Amino acid sequence: MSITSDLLRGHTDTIILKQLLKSDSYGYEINKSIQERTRGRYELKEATLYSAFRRLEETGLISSYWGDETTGARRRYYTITGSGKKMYAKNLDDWNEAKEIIDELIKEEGK
Amino acid sequence: MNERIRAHIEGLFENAPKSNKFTELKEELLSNCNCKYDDLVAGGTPPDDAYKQVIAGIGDVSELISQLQTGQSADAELIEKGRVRSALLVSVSVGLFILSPAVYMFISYLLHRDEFAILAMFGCIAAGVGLLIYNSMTKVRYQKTDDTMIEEFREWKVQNEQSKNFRGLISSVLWPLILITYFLISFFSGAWHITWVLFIVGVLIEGIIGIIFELRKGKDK
Repeated sequence: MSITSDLLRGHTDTIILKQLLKSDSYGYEINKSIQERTRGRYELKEATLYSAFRRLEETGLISSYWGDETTGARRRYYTITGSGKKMYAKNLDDWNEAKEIIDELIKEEGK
Repeated sequence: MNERIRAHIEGLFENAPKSNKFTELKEELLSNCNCKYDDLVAGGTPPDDAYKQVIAGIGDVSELISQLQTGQSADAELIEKGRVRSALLVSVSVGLFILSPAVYMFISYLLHRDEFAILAMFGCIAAGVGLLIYNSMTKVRYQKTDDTMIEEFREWKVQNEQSKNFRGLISSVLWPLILITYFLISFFSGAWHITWVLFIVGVLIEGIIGIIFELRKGKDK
């Protein structure tokens, strides 16, 4: 399990970029849809999520704005930028390549 | 809004610097945690369990805070650089003010043409004023783009409120005094053609006072 979460952690940025590809979103919504897609097997810690947001924003892959909710607390929305989309595509290619290589190397022969 | 969650998050940020960056982070965390809590309760989770689940999901905030703070120390370096640069600009422009009468005298002595001399002198003054304006404008830009700079500025403002008042007082006394001296000397000596130099002296004095305050501020730091 710890290997799984280490592996997943390395792809936090790509996971977030993918969530923003569909539409702008905020922290809880992103985490919730990650949880739903993995049927509850994976969930980011809030701290991990925000440190990723800050990192992505600093490198210009996403940008943020405050929503104008009329009820309750304000939400900070994130939106993916053009270079964010490019980065997502590149990361996806990289991952597919890595997955192939790892499969070749660690799968039992003849299976 | 759940008060227990708020209290817990306030506690997490107790030792964080009170800058925009952290206030926004706190607000974001609060709103997302409340969202999650409401969702869980609406889905049938008992409030106590929902609270525990939300708190467990936050993770290590202190690491996030220190990560954001290291970014801040880089900003502090930038601020320091800006301060040195602005001190340099101010000294150069004051130097130009001081030199301008000398330029006038030198050229009028050398060429015996007063109009060139005056032109050169005003050129010096204009360059000095230009530098001062450029300095203050670029300073404003720093404050707008960088929230830590704003924090720094606020702190500085509070600390220096007293000395600033004092400085304002000096210049509000200085100018009427110069004006009176100007008329007195001019009427008694009749040397109207040269007494206006007093105003340049006034600019000079103000500049020097500014530098003294700036230096003192640097020492206090």
